[in-house]
Amino acid sequence: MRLLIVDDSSIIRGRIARIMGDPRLPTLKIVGMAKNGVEALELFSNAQPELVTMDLTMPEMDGVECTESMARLNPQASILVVSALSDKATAIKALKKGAKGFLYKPFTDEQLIGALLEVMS
Amino acid sequence: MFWDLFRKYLAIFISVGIFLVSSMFVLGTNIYYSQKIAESAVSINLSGRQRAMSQRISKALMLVQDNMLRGQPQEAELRELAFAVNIFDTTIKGFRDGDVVTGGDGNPVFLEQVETEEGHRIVRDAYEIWNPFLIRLQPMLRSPDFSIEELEDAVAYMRVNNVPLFNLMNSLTFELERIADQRATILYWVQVGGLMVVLLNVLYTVFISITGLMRGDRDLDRARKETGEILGTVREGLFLLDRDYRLGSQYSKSLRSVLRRDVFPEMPFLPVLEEMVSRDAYDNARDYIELLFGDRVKEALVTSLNPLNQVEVSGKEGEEPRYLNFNFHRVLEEGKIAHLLVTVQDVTELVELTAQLDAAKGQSRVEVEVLLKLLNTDASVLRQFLDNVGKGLAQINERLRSEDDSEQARLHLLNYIMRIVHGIKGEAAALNIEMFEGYAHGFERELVAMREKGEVRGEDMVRITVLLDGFYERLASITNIAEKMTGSGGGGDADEKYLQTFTDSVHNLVSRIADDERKEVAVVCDLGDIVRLPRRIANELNSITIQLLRNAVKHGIEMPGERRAQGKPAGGEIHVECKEVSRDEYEFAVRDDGRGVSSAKIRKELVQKGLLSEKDANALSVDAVMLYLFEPGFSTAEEADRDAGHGVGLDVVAERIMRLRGHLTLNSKAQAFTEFKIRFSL
Amino acid sequence: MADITEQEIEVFVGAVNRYFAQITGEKAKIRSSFLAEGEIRPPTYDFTGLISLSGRYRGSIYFSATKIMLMRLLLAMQEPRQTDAHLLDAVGEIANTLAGNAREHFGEGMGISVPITFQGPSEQLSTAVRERPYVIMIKWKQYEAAVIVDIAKK
Repeated sequence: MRLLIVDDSSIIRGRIARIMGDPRLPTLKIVGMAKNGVEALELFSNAQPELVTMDLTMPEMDGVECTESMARLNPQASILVVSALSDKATAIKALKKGAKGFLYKPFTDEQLIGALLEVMS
Repeated sequence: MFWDLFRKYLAIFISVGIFLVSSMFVLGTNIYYSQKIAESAVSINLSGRQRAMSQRISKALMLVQDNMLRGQPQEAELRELAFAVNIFDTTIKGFRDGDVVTGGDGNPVFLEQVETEEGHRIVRDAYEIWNPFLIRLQPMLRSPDFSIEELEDAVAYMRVNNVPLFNLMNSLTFELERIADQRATILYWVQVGGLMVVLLNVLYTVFISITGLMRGDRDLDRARKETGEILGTVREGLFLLDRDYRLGSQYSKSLRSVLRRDVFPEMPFLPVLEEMVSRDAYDNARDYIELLFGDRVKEALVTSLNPLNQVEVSGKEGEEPRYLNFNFHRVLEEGKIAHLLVTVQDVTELVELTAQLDAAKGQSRVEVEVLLKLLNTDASVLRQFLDNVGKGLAQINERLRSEDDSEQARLHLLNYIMRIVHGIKGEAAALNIEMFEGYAHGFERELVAMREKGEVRGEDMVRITVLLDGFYERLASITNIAEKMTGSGGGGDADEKYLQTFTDSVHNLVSRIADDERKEVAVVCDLGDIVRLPRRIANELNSITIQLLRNAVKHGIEMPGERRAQGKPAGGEIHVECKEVSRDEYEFAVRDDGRGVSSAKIRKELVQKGLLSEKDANALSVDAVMLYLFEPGFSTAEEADRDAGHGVGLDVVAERIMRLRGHLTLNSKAQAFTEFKIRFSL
Repeated sequence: MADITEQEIEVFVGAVNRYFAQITGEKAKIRSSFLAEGEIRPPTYDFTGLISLSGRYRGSIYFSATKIMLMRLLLAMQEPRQTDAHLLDAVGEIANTLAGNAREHFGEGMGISVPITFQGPSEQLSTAVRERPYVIMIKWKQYEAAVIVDIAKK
């Protein structure tokens, strides 16, 4: 499965990337990492990932808008929103625009693995 | 699923099965016996012909003999004989073995073997006669050149056997007719039986269907009644929402009252919601419901995002807003989301209660009453007070920054803050500024609760900061008002006014506490020299006076009944004095004529609080025991209220006296008096 | 001005607790708490992440920490890169998380900027919307940080 990581923090990108080796997860190949929505969309169309982790608060096109565009480009892609924005309205909006799951920051490795497995199922 | 359906319709399946099997059976036997009866008809017909044939053979044979005697040609007669013999022979063989024979119409027809015992016997008997006859007929059949002996032999045999053969053939016919009758009877009974089975089956099916339908109706009726009862009595609004966002046909009776709207089956839900809640809430709710109907996102995740939790609902014109809880649950039918079950609750009371509690916790609300009181207070005294409060709060904030987060340091800090807050409370009480007094009291109570927990956590520090911020806000709003008041007020002799305010504050405080305590207390003030002191010191004295007066009224003065019992006047008396005893040497005293300080009571308290062991407490001198009165956290009042009992009070006094570099003496006599005397020099 | 309740300050305290507990498995302690009033300025440590608010609220929330605390935090996240750029990234991400989590209470009406980060003291920190911004001093292991809450309703 091809994975795209979208987050403006390189630390978070690194954390998510490191979890991919976990034996509980199927083999995931990281096909790209983006630090804003514009970069993310470009990588999304080129690399055709099946799975995306998506931050919401980012410079240049936020995550909700980016999720919407991705879902339009490929409705089959599983998008997991990984964000600190903890209000209900944002989560509903992101899910409605095409995200399949929502994980609040801060997260533990276990929570991320659980959330990834959930959106893949 | 399939098996459920199968079980449900099992009876129907069985009856259809029975119908099919019985029909096949009846049809099959019908065809079989009809065939058999047709065959019987052939047999009967041919056995009748056999009877006739035996006579035709006899007649032909006789004619041949006749013609032979007369020497006439007999070709035709011989042919007739051959024909009749052939027919008779093949037919009787047919009866014996079953075979194709020439039918009555000359066409070949299958003749079945005779079935019954009796039939066999008849055919066997007939054969015994026929076989020898056929042998004797052979010469006549082979060629016309037969001898007369041969003919006579045959005729002689015929004469003897003609009648028995005829009779046998007759019997055969009867037998065959009997068999045919039997077959017809069987066919009749099979048909009747089949019909009966079909009829019973139909009756059974009808019975099953009707009872099933009746039970179904009954169950449905009961279910409908039960649903009706539930929907009629449940307090929440309850309804089903379909994929077109319309209400189902059934909903709880209370839905109308919860929504305060007319409700009807198939009512579109979204427009109603749009009318009720804010734009934001509506947009979120619409998206949320859409998500719930989609199956992309799991229910657990969606449920946690419900935007209609404690949602504010606007009422009609002039109505207070209400708060409703909407809860949505997916209802699955065959794995597909068919409906949402929606429950609606009115939680206005709950929300309002919470809001009230929050408000009571204290947001700054300057009440008119406070304003009026402020107007009656001397502006300079008020300013002085506000200044003191500001300084106190700044001191608290400064200490809150402390780097030291050890348990010890935190408890210390708590006591420090408590002293300041208690001081503010006392001054506010003296000035009758209840807003401050109440807030400080609440603040103090929380501090006490923290101290009693034994462990001051970081979160408690945040709590204190919030309370401090609230105090600052009150201070800001009153300062604001005080500033507006300056300029009016003024005039008169400042000293005189100060003295008046000081004395008033003493009277105010004492009468208020005395009222609370249901005691009778009079104050005698001799404070003339106080105006000679710098105001800073006078203010300190004011704070000290407040604490001492609290103590005097609360702990010193007895209840009127108790006083009378001791032969004292029912009303107690407190003297407050300030005198310049020598140049720049002052003496300030507060004396009450109450029960005096009981060292025994303090000892008991010390042991009870676990501060000292009984042995150590008893070993202390009276003076040493008295010193404990000035320790933070020590109090002999039984119950905490805003005037005493928090264990703050005398420690505030001690601290302030220290600041004045004063000297305190405590004189007391049991049942007679307590006097706090402070000596200080400028 | 009384537009922030204790509950609302606790939202941030809760977010800090959750952050450290989730990421490191070890809770942070609140060392002290006070008001940035008069002469008392909010403290700044080596690295600071600031989130400015928009929408129905104004002001900012910032998280300031010592370098050593951030390095230790990155280790807890198994992040091997420890350059100043990464420390700034981390401090910004923490500020973003605290502010983001607070939306659970304040709702989507509280607009949140992407983090602005800087090293050392900065002028930007002295602009306050509250009379007295809240300062919450944090201690995690033996390292120090501060959360400053300076928010007001519009």
